[in-house]
Amino acid sequence: MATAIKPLANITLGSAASSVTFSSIVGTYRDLVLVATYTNGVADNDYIAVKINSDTGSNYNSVTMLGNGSSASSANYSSSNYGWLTVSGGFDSSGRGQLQTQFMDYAATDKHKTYITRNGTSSKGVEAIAGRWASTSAITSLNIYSVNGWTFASGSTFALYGVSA
Amino acid sequence: MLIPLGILDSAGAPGTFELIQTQLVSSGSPTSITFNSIPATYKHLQVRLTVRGAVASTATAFSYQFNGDTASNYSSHFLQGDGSSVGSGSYLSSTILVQDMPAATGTAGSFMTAIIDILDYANTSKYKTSRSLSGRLANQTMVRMNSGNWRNTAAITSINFYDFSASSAFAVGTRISLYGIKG
Repeated sequence: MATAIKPLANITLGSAASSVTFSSIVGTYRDLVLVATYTNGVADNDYIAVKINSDTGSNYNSVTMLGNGSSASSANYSSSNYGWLTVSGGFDSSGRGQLQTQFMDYAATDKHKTYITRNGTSSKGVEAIAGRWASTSAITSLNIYSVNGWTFASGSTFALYGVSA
Repeated sequence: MLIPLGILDSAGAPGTFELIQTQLVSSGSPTSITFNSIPATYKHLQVRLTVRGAVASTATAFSYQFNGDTASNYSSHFLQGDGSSVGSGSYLSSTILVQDMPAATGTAGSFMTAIIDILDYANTSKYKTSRSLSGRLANQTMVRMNSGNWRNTAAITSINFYDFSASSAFAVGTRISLYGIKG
């Protein structure tokens, strides 16, 4: 039996970039999985967001949960112009981080798109985020970028997988 | 093989992460979704789902049981963030509760999503454990991590998903997929 998860694209930055975009995503899978390891090369006060299908409207809702070793917290972001992939746990003190995000039923046209993501660093804590894009359109592109406008440094990697169902 | 909730087979190697079955509610109103005759040929199971209830409520509880066992043989813990605070709790129950899913009077188009890992499901020398990460962003936001335990050493051969609080149906668009992970 064939494996149910297939690599769709794998981007390793050869030079700094302000964003990474997966475009023309085929609709033949059920879920998408984004795995990223990255650095901004600077500092930890940065956040990663996603825009789906270039939608810049107030159509994103996110809820976060963070444990930082001494306390736990949760935050809600409604009607945002982007979906949060990291809020508090996305970058360590050297500006490095990693995340893994699941976009569920991304090609369905009868439901809003929901994603769940996890990230964490040794200095900032461990974080889980759930997000909803209030659109029934199939996801065909993902634009990943820094909320603060910083760049992803050379060597940052972004891999996208498709899960069959 | 490491099972980090969702990405299990990053190399795309053949035959290590396989689809067993998908059930999609495209019409009708099933009150449960059951996977039967699960083969014992894998090491672990993973369930990936987007679900919505049909009961006339904004939200209703999504839950599951193994092998048709409806007795109080389950326990679970959760850690959750609701947008303002983080909480934790536990249950001794006849089911493993994931979290609420939007229902008929909830925000249109919204579903709850979860990924559930069921570990060593065919091993007959240990109780069965599961874990999940789930989220919903309508009619109360919630991101939640769960652990579940079924106090039985039998191999898991069936999983039943249902509306725990209302015993009502799943809405059209609900999808649950079961995968097997080779060991």
